[in-house]
Amino acid sequence: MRVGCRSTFSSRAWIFVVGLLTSGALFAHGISEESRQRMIDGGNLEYFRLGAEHMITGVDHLLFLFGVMFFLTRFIDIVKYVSAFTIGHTITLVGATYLQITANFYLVDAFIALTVVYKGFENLDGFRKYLNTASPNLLLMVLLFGLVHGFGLSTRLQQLPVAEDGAMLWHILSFNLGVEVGQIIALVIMWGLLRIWQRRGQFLVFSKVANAGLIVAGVALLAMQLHGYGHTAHADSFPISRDDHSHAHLDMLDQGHSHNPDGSHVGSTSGEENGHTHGPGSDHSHEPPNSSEPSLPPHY
Amino acid sequence: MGSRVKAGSFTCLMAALLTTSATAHEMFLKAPKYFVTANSDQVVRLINGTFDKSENSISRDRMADVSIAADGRITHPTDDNWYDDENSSYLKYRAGDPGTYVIGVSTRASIITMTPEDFVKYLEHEGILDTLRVFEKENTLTEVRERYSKHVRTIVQVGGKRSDDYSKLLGYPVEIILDQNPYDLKFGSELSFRVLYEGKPIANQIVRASYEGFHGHDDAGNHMNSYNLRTDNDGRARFLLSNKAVWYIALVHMQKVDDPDADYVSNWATVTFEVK
Repeated sequence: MRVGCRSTFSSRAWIFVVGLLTSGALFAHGISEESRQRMIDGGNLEYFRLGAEHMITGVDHLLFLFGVMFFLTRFIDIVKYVSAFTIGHTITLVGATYLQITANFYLVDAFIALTVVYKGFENLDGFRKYLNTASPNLLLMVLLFGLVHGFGLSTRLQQLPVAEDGAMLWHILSFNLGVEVGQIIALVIMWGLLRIWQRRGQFLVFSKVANAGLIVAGVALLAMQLHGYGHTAHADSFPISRDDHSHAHLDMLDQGHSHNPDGSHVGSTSGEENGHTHGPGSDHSHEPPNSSEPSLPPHY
Repeated sequence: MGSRVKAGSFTCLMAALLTTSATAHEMFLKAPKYFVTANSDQVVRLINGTFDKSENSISRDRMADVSIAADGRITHPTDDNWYDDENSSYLKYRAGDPGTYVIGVSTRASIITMTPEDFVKYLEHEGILDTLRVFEKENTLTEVRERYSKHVRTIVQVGGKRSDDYSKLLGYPVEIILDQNPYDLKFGSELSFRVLYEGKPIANQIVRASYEGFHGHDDAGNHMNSYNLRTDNDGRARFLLSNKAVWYIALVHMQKVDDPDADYVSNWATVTFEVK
């Protein structure tokens, strides 16, 4: 496959990218009732599965890892940086969840989006070119950003009914183990793709496009999360429900919003975990909410 | 778990009717904080519209009763304790001794007249399915007169001590009475409640339980923004407290009546509380 600017980004690719972004945003908007019930009914295995699925479908984590992996060619370097990221996110994921330290997850995810922007900027040699300074120590930054990503994972995990007795630590550790397994799966795929691209003559062009894309995606994620924060911080200013509102946004991203044959959203590895699954053959569509709202007799 | 999101024509139909639409002019009492310190001045907001947006305030002359149940007693705040802004009314109250408080408001009945077509739309919109089915089969009216009133309560925890006032009857025509103190429950627990009409259990009543941002699906992939429940013969239903959130339980009890002023009488009831 030739890596170029325009030829690679076919309309299908855009649909995939926007769909992936959208699925991540949906997760940010909440966890479906089905998932909640499954977690309540299930045990450590369910937490493990959710951790793995969240990492695999967590577009912000994936983009950041993609940025970290981008220029790494030696196996030892990959182990070094991924270990730093893993140590960082494990500390906050386990620690914050166990101690029940939480924050508005939109804000945490906004910060995570900034880490994606940061990595794209750094990969484009932005510090030297635009700030006339050397890039901060990458290993340290990856460790620090790992802490942020782990806190983001923790805020999500704390939306779920983690047991408060002795099982709590097992639930957290199961989720964390799932995250690590999901991360390994994602890394193997990324590494394979990058190895192919790194050996091609057009890699330099590709790297500019891809890292500029990281910045754009990071900014888009940042905007989504800040918008989401607006809902929680100024709920009364947003008259329509969060569910309907997310669908309104999906309509705005109509190109990116299509359904797979099984009813899940395009780009969603696990639609249900993203809080959004459609049954096979569902005739459900995302009409703009309230557009066909009947005029009802007012019961004041 | 008897009342989980489940398949079935009832759930599918409810989902289809209630998915994208917000219910119109439901009334809720919502507290900015459901866990408050003892001996502090607090406020609750009376919302008329949807759970997340109020469309109008409620004038005092429309309130048939305002009650606060605490410490085994029921008191009735005066009109002086109310104030309004452009779309809501607010009740100031004193959170005194520790305990679980219930604050309730019941409105006087109003009559609304509408065309049969509008009545059908309204029944569909509110998920009043049983009345809808019968009306569509048997209606001969050229206009429908409905007498409606609303009866809402919220449960607030003052200090740490739990008390039984959460289940206090306030004497409203329709009341939703929780079987457990919600502040003894953690999310992941099941909560059961009872629906009473004039003090007696209502069987087979459609009830919705939800919170802001609720997002479920039935087996057909339809979106559901609430658990859609039916009471059993004892007027009871139960559901899973699946999220840390401010929850509500809501119903519209509709009856056809033989009355010179009205063809139907509806009593709307809601209760709100927080789950941590």
